[in-house]
Amino acid sequence: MFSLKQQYGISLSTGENKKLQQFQILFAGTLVGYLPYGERAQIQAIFQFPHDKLDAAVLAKLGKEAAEGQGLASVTVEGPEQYSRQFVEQVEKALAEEDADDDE
Amino acid sequence: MAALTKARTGLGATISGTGLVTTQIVSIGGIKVSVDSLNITTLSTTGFEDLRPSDLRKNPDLPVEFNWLGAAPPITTAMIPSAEPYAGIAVTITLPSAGSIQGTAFVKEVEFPSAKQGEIMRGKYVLQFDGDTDITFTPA
Repeated sequence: MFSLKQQYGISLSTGENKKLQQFQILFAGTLVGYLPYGERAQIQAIFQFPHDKLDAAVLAKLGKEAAEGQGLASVTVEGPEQYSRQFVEQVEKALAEEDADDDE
Repeated sequence: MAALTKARTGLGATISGTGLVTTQIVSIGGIKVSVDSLNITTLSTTGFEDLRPSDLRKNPDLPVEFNWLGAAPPITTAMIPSAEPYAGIAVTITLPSAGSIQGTAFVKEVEFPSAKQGEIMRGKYVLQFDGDTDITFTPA
């Protein structure tokens, strides 16, 4: 299953464990990509992995929303277009939670 | 994610960052983070000279080679951000099951391919980490 995990990184100057501005995208515990967040999140570097289809139509929908200034700012796809709809739902949920945090 | 228990090659490493060429990558890096050494030797020092580190780390650059497909301009304002206030590209280099390195950067150099018989056309860009966000390492 997909999961999103807040990423932390150790600063190479101070040694501090810092909260980074991105999630790690995991599939069955394996790192498959990153979801940076900010004003409008972007899915980046989604690595190749086997799963049920997140097909071209779904990607096109995400791309269209991005072009219209809604949803994700961009979707970069690498490798076969085999990404899960469940993943998209989780991304949208995570983004909604991020928005909710911002509103508080 | 468990770290490696046995050393492996860089096959499977990836780089991500808005506007960067991230497909058909042939080689990434490596990153060298360094600090200057200051000489604090005095006239009373004996044996070896005395050194100490300077205050700040130096931002590294990072060469990335890729197979040249020619689908998009190799250098754009997405790679060299021009909007003010300046904000670099968030770059993540992921080593296969061996952690990741993050930081902000801009592209400082792009090399078009040499066109030669019997040789794959390869391009190269060089990222300059800018220190806007500290370089961090996330263990595997």
